[in-house]
Amino acid sequence: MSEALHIAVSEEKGNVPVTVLHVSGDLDSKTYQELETKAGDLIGGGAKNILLDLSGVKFMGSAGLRAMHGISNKLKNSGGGKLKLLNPTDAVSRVMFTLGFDKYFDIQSDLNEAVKSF
Amino acid sequence: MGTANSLEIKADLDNLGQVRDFIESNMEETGLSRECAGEFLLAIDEAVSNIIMHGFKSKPDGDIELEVAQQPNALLVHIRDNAPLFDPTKGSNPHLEISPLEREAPGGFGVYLLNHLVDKIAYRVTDDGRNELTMLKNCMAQAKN
Repeated sequence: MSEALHIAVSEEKGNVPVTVLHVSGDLDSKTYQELETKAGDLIGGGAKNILLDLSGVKFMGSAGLRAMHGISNKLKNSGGGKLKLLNPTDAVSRVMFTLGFDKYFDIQSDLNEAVKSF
Repeated sequence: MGTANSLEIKADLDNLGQVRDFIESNMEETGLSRECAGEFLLAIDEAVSNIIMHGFKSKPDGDIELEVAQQPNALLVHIRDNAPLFDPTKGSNPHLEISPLEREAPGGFGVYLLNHLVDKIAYRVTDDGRNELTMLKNCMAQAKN
């Protein structure tokens, strides 16, 4: 059943500071803007390395890609940075694989390894 | 007590969750496999999102009606709306060879998904002049590539 989008933020220290957005619930044509806005606020506050933890996403439509595009653009416009994905659920992978877009993303499966990879 | 087989909503993105709940309830009753149901849910969500955002330009006074027919291992869904006539089965080229992160504005993915995640799709204009999109997901069929 549908679930409201929830975003929690944590800061991790690897070789560089990494901002992790733990996304859960439904990422659809309505809610994707919440993710883009939240990430934009963090990037505006100085975040340069963004890890999207997608392990709690119950549903994702192609709008999820719009959010990722928006986050990537915000990083570019703020002088550069990196966007990586962590543990996408089947709902996320379905969109990525059907469109063949999985190859364009750095997809990680372990939080500690992901943080170290930045 | 069976699940309702029709749903009427206003063209508001806030109603997408209600659409998914309606489709999920019907898929559960039909017994579609998890992966198959996930694909169909995505296709339906993309179809309705497109109607709301592009058909009605996100003005929430439009009407969208969904009607389902449960079949053994399959679900048939009709989506009708009174937005300007548009046939999403004609599709468009979303240029999948370009990364979604390297575009000026990502678009066209929804139409691609809704056409590629179902087993049959058809568009017609109803006798009263509305768009009608019919989508069938048969979970006994081979996975479509």
